[in-house]
Amino acid sequence: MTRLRVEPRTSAPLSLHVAAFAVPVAATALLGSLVFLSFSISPLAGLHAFFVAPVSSAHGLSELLVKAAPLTLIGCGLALAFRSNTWNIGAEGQFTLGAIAGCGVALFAPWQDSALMLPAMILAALAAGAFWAGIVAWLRTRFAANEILSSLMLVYVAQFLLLWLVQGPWRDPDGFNFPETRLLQDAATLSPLLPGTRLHSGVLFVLPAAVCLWLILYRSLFGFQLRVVGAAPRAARFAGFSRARIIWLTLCLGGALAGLAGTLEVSGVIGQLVPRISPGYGFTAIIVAFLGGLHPLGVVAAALLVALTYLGAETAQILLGLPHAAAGIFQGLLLFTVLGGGFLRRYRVRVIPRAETATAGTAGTTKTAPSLSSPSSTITGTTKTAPSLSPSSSTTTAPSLSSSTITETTKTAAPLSSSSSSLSSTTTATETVTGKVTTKTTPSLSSSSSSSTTAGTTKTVTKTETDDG
Amino acid sequence: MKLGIFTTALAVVAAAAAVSGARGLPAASAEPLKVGFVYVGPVGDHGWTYRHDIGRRAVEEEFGDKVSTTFVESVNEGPDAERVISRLASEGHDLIFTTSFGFMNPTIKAAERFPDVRFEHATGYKRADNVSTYAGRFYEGRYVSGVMAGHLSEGGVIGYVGSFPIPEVVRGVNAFLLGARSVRPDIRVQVVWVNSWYDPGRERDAAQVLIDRGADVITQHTDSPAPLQAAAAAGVYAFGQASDMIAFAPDTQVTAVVDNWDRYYVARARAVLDGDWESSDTWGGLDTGMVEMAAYTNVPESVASAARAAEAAVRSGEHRIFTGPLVSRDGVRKIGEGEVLDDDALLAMDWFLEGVEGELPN
Repeated sequence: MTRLRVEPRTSAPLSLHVAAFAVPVAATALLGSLVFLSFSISPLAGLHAFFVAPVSSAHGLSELLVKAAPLTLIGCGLALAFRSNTWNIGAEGQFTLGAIAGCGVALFAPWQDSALMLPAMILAALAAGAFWAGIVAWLRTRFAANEILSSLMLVYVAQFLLLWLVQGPWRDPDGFNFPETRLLQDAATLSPLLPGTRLHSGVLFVLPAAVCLWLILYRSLFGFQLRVVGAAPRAARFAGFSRARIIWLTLCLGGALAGLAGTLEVSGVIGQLVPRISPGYGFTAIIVAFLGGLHPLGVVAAALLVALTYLGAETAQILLGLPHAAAGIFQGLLLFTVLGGGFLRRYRVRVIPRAETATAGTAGTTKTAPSLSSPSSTITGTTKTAPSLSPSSSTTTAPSLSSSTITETTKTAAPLSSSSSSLSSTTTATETVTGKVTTKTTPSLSSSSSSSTTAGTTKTVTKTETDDG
Repeated sequence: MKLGIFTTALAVVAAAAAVSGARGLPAASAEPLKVGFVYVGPVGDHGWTYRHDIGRRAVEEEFGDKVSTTFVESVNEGPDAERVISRLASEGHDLIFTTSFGFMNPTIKAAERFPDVRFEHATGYKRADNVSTYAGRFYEGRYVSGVMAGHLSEGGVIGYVGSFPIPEVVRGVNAFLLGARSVRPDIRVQVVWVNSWYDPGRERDAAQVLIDRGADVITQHTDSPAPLQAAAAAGVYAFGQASDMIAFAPDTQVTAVVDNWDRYYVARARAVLDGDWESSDTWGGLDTGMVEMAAYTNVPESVASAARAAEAAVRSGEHRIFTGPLVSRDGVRKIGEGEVLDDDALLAMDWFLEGVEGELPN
């Protein structure tokens, strides 16, 4: 049986970069054309409706920014957390809590019409979002509770809290008992930037926030620690970086940004609390974060692209009568090909014929792990690293620590796949510490299928890495 | 990666732009009246949205080339709604129907921005010079359903799958209970909220929970046939919602409260064509044909004739459903002997009658 092996690329020639965007564009156009044609719609008209018509007016552009703003704010925060291998899936809940807090201030603060109102709402939203994410951080650092599950569950708690408030204590007394708060007063409403559009001044927060996060990530010691914790947990521990501190800070920062997005949405767009304030921004932002390469500035671009596809889906319905579900398929195709292109630029897929699989452990330059002739070792080879000492030769970061050089790649698995604790430590690290090569492999999930003797042998040769010891 | 996104996005946009320039736009000729519809669910929900889309098609049939219609389906009742409504307005739609309560404030805001466009909002209470409201007195149909349930239930417990605890839904629950108790005074109605208009999975689960708890008749105020299907699977009587759902439960649907928007939509489009459209508030019941009962099926003739009698009495106004004395389950006297609740009280109803079980957030 032949096997496929995914390996990080050690070099990226220009032609590769060209292909990495040309191929997704061509693939989207081709596959999308099939979708359009199956509804008897000209592909050109379809592409026009998706990508040009939504933004061919000032109004359309303003809507694009309004839609992209919450995605960017949340996506940037998530990118930071994901870079440190902290999987915050609950931004939707942090968004909701921020909206609740901001609106609560607007409804009940004694300074109803003061200029202090908006700053107070924003501070409350930042604090509330950080608090909601802080619960996750506390559960994670205190009880080692899986943050994916706890953050996701807190989404539902937040949504039910919102429902309870709008149906009960915060319900508009003049609203015929409909589950809505009263409309926010002027002092609590973000002023429009462009008359006649919904573009609100809250959008002005977005770019500075993204730049700040970029500075934090790439120009601060904290950002450096965060990246090392994510990319090389063991190295981070050698260096004395606190994993717990990183978890707390990335979660709370991401939560605060999601909370900010929530209050900006309520104050700038909706104007009141209603049972459903988000069309899933917190979850869409996960895609946005990955689409943006977990880079704050990449997230800005990714948010614009994703927002455009949402606008495009509506425009295609209006102009061409394309059904909602078909528009969703096109949207999915685009994300799939773009994410796939990004992946294939960083990794290559090698076909390993059956004959080679037995010796694959020692073959090639990319793998220095001890050979386990059991098939499972080949399967786990998805993240084998090339022990390269040149930091520029790889797309992954190569932080240098005083006397030792560490090169590692992390497995950018979809966050949900790391829900099992054994997978979350599937980082295979090859470290060169002062010239001496030590190699570690982690047992993969599939190693349970290998016999205990094999597993035992593995452990004597290699050391098991856990990233949050 | 980030560069890749930028360039990809740019390339896609640029390619499409280049192409579109050459393509040319379709020539606008006789300028038909453009009528837009904003739906909260998919047109294939077989319920609420499906019926609105039937109404849209009735407009097309009636006026032919003189109108062209557009719809946007599955629009979130959140920040997206106003964008979709505005988009329709800016695309030259002269008459726009927004067909869910959650579109109320977005409709009002869009109407301020497009004063020359006429808007029609279903089930809301805010109007403007260019915003009308309309709704059906669906509770009348629910009363008739209740009469049937009173005859059909053996255990005396009826399951009610509710969407949101808004007056529209609460009113339907109370009307249903009054119908059932007019036959059998000890009947109880258990309500489960799914907090969504359209979520077949949750709707089905809610119906199943109610059946497991002993309900032997199921009714619903959500948009998909899922509760009806769950009831059919359990061999329990159920009622279709918004449209005749007999295809989903051929042996267990006893009737359905059918929304019929055809006449209203045609009339409003005609008013715009004739130039005499005015903002108005319409609340039509069985008497206007906005609410209809599907065929009474799968029941003994005695039950069907009781239903027909109740339907006739409500339609003629001979029987007023919310006639006193009515006391809420909290013991508050709502109306005295012989009096009838007025429309304002009906529109703001936030209390359950004695006999309704389940939480009512307050």
